[in-house]
Amino acid sequence: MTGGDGGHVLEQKGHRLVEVSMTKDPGGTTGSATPILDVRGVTKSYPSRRGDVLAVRGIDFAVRPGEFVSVVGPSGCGKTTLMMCVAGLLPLSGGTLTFRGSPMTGPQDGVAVVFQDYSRSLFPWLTVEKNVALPLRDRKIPRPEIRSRVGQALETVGLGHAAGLHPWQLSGGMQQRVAIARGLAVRPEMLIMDEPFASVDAQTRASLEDLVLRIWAETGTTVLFVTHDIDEAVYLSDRVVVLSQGPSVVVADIPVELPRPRDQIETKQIPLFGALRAQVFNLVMASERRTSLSGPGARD
Amino acid sequence: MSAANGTGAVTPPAAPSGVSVAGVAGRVLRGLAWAGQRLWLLAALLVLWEVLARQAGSLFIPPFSTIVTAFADTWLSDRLVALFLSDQFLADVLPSLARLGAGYGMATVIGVCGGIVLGVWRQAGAFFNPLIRLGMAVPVTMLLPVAIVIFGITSGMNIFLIALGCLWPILVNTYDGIRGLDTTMTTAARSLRLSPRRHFLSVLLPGASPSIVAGMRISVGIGLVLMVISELFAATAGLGFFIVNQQKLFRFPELWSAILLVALLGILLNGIFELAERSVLRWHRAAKAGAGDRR
Repeated sequence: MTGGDGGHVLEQKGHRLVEVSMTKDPGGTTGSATPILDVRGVTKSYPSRRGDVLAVRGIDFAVRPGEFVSVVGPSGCGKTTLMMCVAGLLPLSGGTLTFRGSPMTGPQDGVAVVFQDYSRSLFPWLTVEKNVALPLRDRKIPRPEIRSRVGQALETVGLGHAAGLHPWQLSGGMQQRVAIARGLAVRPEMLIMDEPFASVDAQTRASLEDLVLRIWAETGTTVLFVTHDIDEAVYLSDRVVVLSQGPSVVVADIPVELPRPRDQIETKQIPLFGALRAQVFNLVMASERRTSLSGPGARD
Repeated sequence: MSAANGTGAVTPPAAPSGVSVAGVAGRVLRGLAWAGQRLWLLAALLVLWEVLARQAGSLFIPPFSTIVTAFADTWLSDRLVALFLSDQFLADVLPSLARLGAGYGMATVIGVCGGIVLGVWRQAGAFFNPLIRLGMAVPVTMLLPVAIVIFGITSGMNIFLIALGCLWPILVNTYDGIRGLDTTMTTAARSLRLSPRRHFLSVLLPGASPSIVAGMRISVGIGLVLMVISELFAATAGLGFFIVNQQKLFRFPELWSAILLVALLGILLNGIFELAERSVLRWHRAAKAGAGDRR
């Protein structure tokens, strides 16, 4: 497993719990340290009747090529907003996004997004095969290649047999696998996943987590994984970015130095897993407590 | 919900029997029972009509059997080449259907394209909205005298009225269909970076199609009414023209047979629509049923 080795060395230099990410030293130790995605001071506010509501405020973090980074935070902290901004699907109110060294203003080639709500991100009028092929159409890709790429993507997620079915004929977990296959079909350099497994049952979830790890290892794609599940974040990632309650800021950027390949049982029995889990948990809870005591809606 | 059975919810389960005499007989019996359950009220009312009309002996309301006889004499023939239709049918019904087809076709093209443009381009939607509300509010039949003055007694006049009347439901339903597209779905579509053409053909059009088809279905009925009405007032051939003529000639069984024909046409067009809907929008029904299963 070579996915994030370059990163581990860098982080061991001492940032364990800093306000901002480690890419403050862009000089870096290795060549691969040049981030594929650089998020600088990203701010997003929504207009409302009582003035603008700030959802995320001055978010800084960076993702290196091939890295698996999770973003966690208390529910309703603006994780999805941040993800939408990073995917180029929402205009920023402030800050900059740099993808592969050039500024990013809208949805980008080389970025694929998997949404939480699989039932509404797949198109029910298209078969599984056509859903996966859709982003490849009209791109001067020869038909046989489209077919082989779609077949390959479906095989990767274990749905080769379901090509001719419609999404509504599949279970939730299978639908989300179709959505992942659609992301893979474009051969993305970065896969952004927004709480992809929030609405599937526990067993399905575990197998989907391992599926994503396998895909990550096989394809070498960078993964930015948004979740509210702390175990999931620690289990999957090279690094966990912790957000505070909204308007969210980055409160910590924690390297996860658990050995790979990871295993649902063995990895979770390693003492370091427990320690990291506790650390992230405390950070998330602390930020939640802070807001609930000082916020306008505080009781007592 | 199992994968293989997903379609089972849409079509009624077919009898698994092979081609056996008992199977066929059973199917025929079940078909009769089905028809009986749904049509007994209609049959009873027709019998009542027959009895009452015979007793009253009115010239204007002939017994139903007389109407059926007149129907066969007027509209049907024994010639296979004419598909068993009479010359009268070819002279009066075909022009009517051609007008309906032309007007309805124009309304569909303009309504669907216009509705999609207005739905996608918000400023244009807001700009044209008052105009559309006004257009919808004016009963198209009131424009009949104006249309006659402008177009004269021509098929163009009939087609214009049919097109105008059919346009609004299609336009508004298409617009609503586009605006009602799920934001998660449109966001997902945006993330795929589709070409505008692909976005239109694979996302917007099918996504709005349940609503578009609903509008088109409403418009079929409106079109049929406008076809007859505009011909009642001004035409040199057509079903409406035929009805007025028969009234003037005091040939009431023939007049009623034309009414019966229009009713049958309506049923036929509706049936065609239902079939088309069932095949084109199969995903829509199934997806709705599926969502109901899970939630």
